Amino acid sequence: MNLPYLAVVGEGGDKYVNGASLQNKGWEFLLSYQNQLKNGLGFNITANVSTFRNKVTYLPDEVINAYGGNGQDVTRLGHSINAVYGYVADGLFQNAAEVAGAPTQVGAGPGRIRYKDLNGDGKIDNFDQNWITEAIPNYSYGLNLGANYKGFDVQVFFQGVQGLYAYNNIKFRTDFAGLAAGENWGQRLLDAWSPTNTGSSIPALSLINNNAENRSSTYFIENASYMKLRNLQIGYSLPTELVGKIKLQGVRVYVQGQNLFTVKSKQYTAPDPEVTNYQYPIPRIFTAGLNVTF
Amino acid sequence: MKFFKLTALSLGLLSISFGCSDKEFLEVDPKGTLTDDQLNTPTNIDKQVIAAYSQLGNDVYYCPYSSMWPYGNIRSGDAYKGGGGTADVDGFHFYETFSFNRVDINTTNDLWTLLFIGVSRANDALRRLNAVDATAMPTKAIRQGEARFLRGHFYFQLKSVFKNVPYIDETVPVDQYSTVGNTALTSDQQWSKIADDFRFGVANLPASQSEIGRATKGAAQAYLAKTLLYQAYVQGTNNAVTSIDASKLTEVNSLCDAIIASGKYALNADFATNFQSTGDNGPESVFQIQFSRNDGTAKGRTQRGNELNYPMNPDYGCCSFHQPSQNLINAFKTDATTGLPRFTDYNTSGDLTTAADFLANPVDPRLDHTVAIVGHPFKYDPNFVFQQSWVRVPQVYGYNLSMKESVLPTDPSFQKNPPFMSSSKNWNVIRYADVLLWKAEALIELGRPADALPLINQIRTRALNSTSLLKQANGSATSNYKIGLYPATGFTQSYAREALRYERRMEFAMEGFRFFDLTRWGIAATTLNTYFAKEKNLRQYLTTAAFTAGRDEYLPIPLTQINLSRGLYKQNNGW
Repeated sequence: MNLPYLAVVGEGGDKYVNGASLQNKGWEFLLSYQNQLKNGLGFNITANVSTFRNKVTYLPDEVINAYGGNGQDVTRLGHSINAVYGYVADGLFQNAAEVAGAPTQVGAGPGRIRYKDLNGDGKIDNFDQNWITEAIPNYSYGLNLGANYKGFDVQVFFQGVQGLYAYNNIKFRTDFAGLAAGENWGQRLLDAWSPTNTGSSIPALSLINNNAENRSSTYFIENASYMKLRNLQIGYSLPTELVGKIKLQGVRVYVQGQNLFTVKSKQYTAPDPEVTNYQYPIPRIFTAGLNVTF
Repeated sequence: MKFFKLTALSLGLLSISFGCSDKEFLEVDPKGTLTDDQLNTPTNIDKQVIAAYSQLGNDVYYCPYSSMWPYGNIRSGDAYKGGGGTADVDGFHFYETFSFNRVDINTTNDLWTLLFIGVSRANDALRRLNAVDATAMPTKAIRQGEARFLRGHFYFQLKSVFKNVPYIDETVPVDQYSTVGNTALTSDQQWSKIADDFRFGVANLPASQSEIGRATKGAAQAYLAKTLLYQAYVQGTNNAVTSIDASKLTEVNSLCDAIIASGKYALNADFATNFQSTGDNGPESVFQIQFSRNDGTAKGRTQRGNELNYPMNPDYGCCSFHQPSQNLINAFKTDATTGLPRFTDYNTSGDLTTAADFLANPVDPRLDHTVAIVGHPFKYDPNFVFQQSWVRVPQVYGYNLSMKESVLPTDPSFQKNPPFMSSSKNWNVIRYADVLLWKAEALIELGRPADALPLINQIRTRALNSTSLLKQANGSATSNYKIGLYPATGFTQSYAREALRYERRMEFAMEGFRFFDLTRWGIAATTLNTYFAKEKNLRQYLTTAAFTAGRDEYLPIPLTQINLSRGLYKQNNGW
């Protein structure tokens, strides 16, 4: 890791050291069954489920405050390497009276995100943050199903994660006009809060980010659980007597589809729960193929 | 035989393992780096001093710590941020409007960091200079003076922005840096430390240097005068001015006299020369930051801090930052009879906006050297007329741009750094006009306004004589220039004080000093809130702007630094 350092040191203060110690604990379970019926139908089922917990157990003293935490006494120790530290977003202010009655928050106003005063000191600042997600799924699972009958074969693979609360960075661009100056805006902005649209959870339109709504907060934490049909393959093998006539051992044709559909949480506002942080979008892929054995 | 081979092999392995017990065998010097010792030769120490100089000009567009335009001008009522909208480089927007400024804005941390890099480079050079033998390095004392001059400059910038900064000199070991807090010294003690650096410079620097750009005795005297002038206005914990230290002002006066008497400096005949590349290192320059082009590097070493401040027309193309305010433009109005500024009604007697307005109303000639106006020549070229389309978002920031930092696209110093523009024109840290007005300010506060009168009039006379470049294509004057000298009668201390403060605004508009002048005088809160009350009718985004006295005179200590210091740094008053 590269240690951030006190600015008075000037240049050359950064250096790489072997830093954090991590601990991973979990278990994995896999069960498989296959059989062939008297009528020639063969099938196989494999299911697996796994879970793990990750903890950062040690950080060098010089950087213990630089990887999340309030910069003073709250650190990442005991939390996962993916954990996110931030404010707790508590809905939107509906009117000026609510703003006046709430703890002092620079930039507050009707239609702006309200943040929770976690330490009860009457103002929203650096110390009103907490670890808002560990960003580790409760468990992940897979299911493999296959069957074959009279030369046809089919194989299906489902995969999913459950109980993952991830930081959805795409919300910066879909829900705000003032955070990415000069860029296109998302369609969700059409439903932004306004005095005539008070039911919306999206903050009021603003070109300038007075309320620092880009700050790390639960506004961006969404349920990123999903179940995806990863792979579906359907094939047909020509009868061996037929292919034997042209001196081949086997000919099989197949079609395959990958990432065919996604089941995701209603809470998740972006298209793909796996793409939360500007990763390359995952495409749906269709393939057709021919296996020839000789 | 087998036994023998086995024994030989075992013995061989054992002896190798014992032979490697020497730990130094495992110590390898890193490749591609210099060791500390290698830097202690006189040649390399010289280079470390040059490294400290180079940090003077390492500005970036989001942290222009040499021109200081976001910290000195857009916080003063002289300029708007500009650019593509209020969210473009939003850190500067929060500086301009004050009310939503926070302790965790990145640009504040960047400013702190980059200025401390300058300090650390100067300290590094000083450490080595202190250790080297004067017989091995005859220039030792001079280079020490230069390094301390540079350290004084960086600390001056830091102190004027942050008020309380950790004072670290070359005697503090680097591993002890984290033990020095920003309130270990009082604000006044910090000024004294900065002044000490310049005193050393005065004692050890030569009157001139063969390599232009190095600090000289005159530069050190001037910077010492500036430091003492700031220190003379004593501030309480809530940043209000509680008293004025006459002994400091007396020293300011004598330092300025020494500079004037040296005969080395003079006002440029034309005000314009200060803002043209042909004026680099001219007689009015006391200390300039040197920039260059066609110097063996790909894009030269140009003034990057101003690279956002050019117009949007095709000859340039970006980014329309640093737009003069209507308040500033109106301030250039002069009285039709006396040619004197209109202290009380400059901003309540109508806004000057169209080219016709500037012909109908008498104005100070320095206006057309400072502010780009629609229909007027840009940078003195009558065939390069500033148009409405040259600004980016006029409905937010109006139709004017700053000219002092820019050059024509045909100028030899012009350099494109796509998508930004820049130039290798030098940047004035101190010009002689500043020295004259510091002397005038000190004299006025010492109760000697009559002695300050000729200095202010000297500056105005030069402005009066600076209209030859301000012509349109048909040869006629661009605006209705009228500027007069202050008469001796009625030049009381309070009148003189107002005249001096107004003169500094006219002379140094858009040069990065105004906000620090207002804070020094203790009038930042009233000036800014008065400015906002009227200007928000023109600039809607200023509706929520408000200056909080006792807090906004200084930027907050960056939260990142407070955290990295484990809470050792104390936050500024009101933050």
